[in-house]
Amino acid sequence: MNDFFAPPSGLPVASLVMLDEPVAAPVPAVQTLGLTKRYGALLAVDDLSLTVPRGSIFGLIGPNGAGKSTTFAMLATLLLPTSGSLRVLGLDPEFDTRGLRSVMGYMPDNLGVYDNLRVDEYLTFFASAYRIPRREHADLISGLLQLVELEVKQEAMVNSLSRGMKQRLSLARALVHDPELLILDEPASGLDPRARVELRDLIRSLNSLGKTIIISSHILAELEEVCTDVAIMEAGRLLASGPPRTILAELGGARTIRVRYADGGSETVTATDDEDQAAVLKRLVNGERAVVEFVEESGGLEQLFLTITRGIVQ
Amino acid sequence: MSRSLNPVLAREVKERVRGGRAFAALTVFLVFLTLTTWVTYQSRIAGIDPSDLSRRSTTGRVLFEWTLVVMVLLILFMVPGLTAGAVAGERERQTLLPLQVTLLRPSSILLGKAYASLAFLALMTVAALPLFAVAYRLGGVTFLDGILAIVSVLVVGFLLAVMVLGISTVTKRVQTATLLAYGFTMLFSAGSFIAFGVASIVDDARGGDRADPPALLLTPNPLVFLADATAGRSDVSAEGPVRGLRDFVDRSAIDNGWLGRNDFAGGFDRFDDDNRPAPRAWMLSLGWQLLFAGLLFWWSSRRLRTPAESER
Repeated sequence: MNDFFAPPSGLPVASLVMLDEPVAAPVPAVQTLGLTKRYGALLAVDDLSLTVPRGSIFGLIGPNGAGKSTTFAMLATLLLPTSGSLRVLGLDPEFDTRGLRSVMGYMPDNLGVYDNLRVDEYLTFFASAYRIPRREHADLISGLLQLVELEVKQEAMVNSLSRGMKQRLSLARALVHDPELLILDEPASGLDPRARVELRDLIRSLNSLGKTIIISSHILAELEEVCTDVAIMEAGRLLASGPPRTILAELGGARTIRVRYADGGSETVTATDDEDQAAVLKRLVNGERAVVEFVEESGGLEQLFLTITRGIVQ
Repeated sequence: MSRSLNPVLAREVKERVRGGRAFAALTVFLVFLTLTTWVTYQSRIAGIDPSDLSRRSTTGRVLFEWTLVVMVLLILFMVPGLTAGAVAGERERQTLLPLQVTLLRPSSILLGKAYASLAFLALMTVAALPLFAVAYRLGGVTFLDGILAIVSVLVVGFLLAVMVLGISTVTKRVQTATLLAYGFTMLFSAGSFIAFGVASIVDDARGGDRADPPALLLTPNPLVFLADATAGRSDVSAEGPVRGLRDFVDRSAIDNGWLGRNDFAGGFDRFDDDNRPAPRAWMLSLGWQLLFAGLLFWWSSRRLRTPAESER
């Protein structure tokens, strides 16, 4: 992989020492306790207690107005919470703001880019803004553009890029200082199916490089494919959090399994957990009809989301 | 790590050069300034005996002063339009949040934008130099006058740009920011004359009692700074607008006092070595402008600071 993923020399020493120090228990990427954000009478985030494990791809799910973007803004050192505590990579966003910014990349939900710049100039600007020495810019930008597959557009004007390309450029911008944590707010919105698949692959690649990724999306199937952990929010409150299957199991939600027989017939059966599912399969196989297909119709996140949320819109 | 150019400055300059607005503004600026020089030259040069050096130098001086005044008026008109969108435009284009999560401090972001305005002002000033050369060639204008004029124009333009930047942080729409910036510039420049005029009328209506309007009311006006800083020695021609404005301000200070309490003090008696009212009008004017620019810069830096209590 490109060596630009080595920590940039612009990183504060304190942050590097803190991140590199061997610790008994790994500090979570994000830990919130009773996090609350209030705008006048509106409670945008209500008593949110959340842990995002390091190295995970963490999906934050919720309908519009659930408080996802507000939560991200607090994680990204942009907003102060009204109450509660918040640690990102062990740092307090209010007091270690610059230290945190040097190890965190943020891509907001709105896609804003400077149209009058070339792609390489856009990234150079942000590299300078992150105090990365000028001599490292060329290699850094070349590596980033290769990573987001925009190397052929290096000298193109930003306003000539498609929405998907701009989205990837924004992602490259968020990666310019090689952050350990990436916060991506609705990165797939407005993308065509192909661009979504490419983005998903890119997120997986970044995660394989050891980066923790927190991502929100309305497209649940999108998150299901890629997330190791999820949190579901509604009306500012956390409804559930953890690996999707674990949450489903905890909720006791029945799995729907589609069965197709050799005689052309089919039916759906239900199972509560793995053990129950195995028992159902055994019973069917031992039955008189030959089974040719036994597929869990995993509503997955979608099913989970619909099970948990009540459709409250703030 | 070596200290490098403010990245916001580098980007802003690049964007301005590529955008059409800066080119259009420069064109309009030069067209108006050239017309001013041409009209003034034509109206003054007719019938002058080329050997009459005194008349030639007076014409040169008047030409210089009119070019300078129109130049500052154009800058007062253009700076709000070109600067009001500096921060509001970032919000409108949704580019502010990515910028705020970088390691740039709010003051660096604002300074980068202010320096970009200064760079553009410098370009406009340099482009106008050939027009000043006409006056210099005729006489009545020294090299020092030219340097003082350029520095004064840059100071006025830069400080106004800093103030407008402050206004630009208030709103999320460029259009609103532009309207506010023009309103502020009008108040800041013409407002001082209007306030002084209204106070004088009220004073006259009351029979010129002891409520003389303070001449200090005139000094926030950037034109007063320009006039006092560039009018030159007292023995140069008083036919041009710069010298005329300076004399008006001086007379107001002597008649009314800077603070309007001349009658109580038994007559204005604070004069400097050049027999001009002390402190000099340009110092007071610069003081006002620095104060406003400093306060607005501090306030706008605070508004851009994150994490913030609310999304701005």
